[in-house]
Amino acid sequence: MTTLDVGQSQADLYGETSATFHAALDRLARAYEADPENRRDLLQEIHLALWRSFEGFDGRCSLRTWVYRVAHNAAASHVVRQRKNFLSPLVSLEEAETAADPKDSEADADRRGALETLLELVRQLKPIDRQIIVSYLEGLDAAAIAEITALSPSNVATKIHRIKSVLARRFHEGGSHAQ
Amino acid sequence: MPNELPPKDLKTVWQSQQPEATQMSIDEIRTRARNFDLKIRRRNLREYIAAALIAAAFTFFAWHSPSTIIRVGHALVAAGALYLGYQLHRRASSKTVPRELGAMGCLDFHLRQLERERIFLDNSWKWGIGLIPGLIVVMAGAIAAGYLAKALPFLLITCLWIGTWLWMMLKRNKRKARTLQREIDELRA
Repeated sequence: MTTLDVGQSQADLYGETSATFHAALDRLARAYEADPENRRDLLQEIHLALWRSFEGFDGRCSLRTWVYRVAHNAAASHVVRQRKNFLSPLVSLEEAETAADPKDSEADADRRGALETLLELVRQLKPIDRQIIVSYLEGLDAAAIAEITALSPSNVATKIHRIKSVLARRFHEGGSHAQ
Repeated sequence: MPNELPPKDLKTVWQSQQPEATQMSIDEIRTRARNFDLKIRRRNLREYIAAALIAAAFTFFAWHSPSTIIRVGHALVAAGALYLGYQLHRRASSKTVPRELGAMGCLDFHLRQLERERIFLDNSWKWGIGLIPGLIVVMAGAIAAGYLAKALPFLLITCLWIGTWLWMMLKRNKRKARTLQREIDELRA
């Protein structure tokens, strides 16, 4: 986990964040926006939100938690704005878990590849579930995800279990593989 | 097959994505932040000026109208424009403070955002209500004074059409507000 000095300036904090989380933020933007042009705008919006947020950073949480909260919250605002424009409906993890597999998933698999299939699943989820799945894929543990999302650790653990089940099913593997 | 990777490997697949965008320098982000603030301030100022101009114009008309009914109508429109300006100001003031993005957990932030959106949709009728009564009174005054006798059928059809459109929009907003409330309730459960 990134250590921090509360006395660091806004520029220092942004510089450190940009260097440490640049790739993670790029991946996070991909989870929220499929269109490359809009994704570039979203990523800039996230960076701008981070820069502005550092004026009020008080060190009560780790820099990593702060960065992910800002990025996810800014991206979730983007999703809410998009939804206003009558784009496709979002589903919860529970709904994704019980939904039938897309008929063409196997036929499309070779063409699209694992990453595309994964991104497609992630982008159809509601913001909170999307935040959990992205954090999980980034390798964060349940405690860290709970701190970012403000969900209880047990709730996060349950959702991670569901994520594994959904991922396993989507990738045609049994639940036992999803460890 | 590429889609048969177990979830454990999906983390590797996910993390192996190459960044698309280049890093922004401190100077670049500073410039963007300044431009963003300037854009918001200009937008707010434009809205306030538009509301103030409408209020000033209708106050002038109220002062110089020959008919009492039309004068009252113009005064109501001026008051409505000021009310609209106040609503715009309230909306601008309730925007998210940058610090809140990091200080609030995602669930709390998302709940607040949905709640704000629901309130906005629930209260959308208030935006038009400031101007509509005044315009109706002005029109009634003009009809009573005989200014609009020839155009009356056209005006009535137009009013009916606008009224139906507003009613449908309000119904749609109410339906959206109910959907949002259900989502809020689910998240709080």
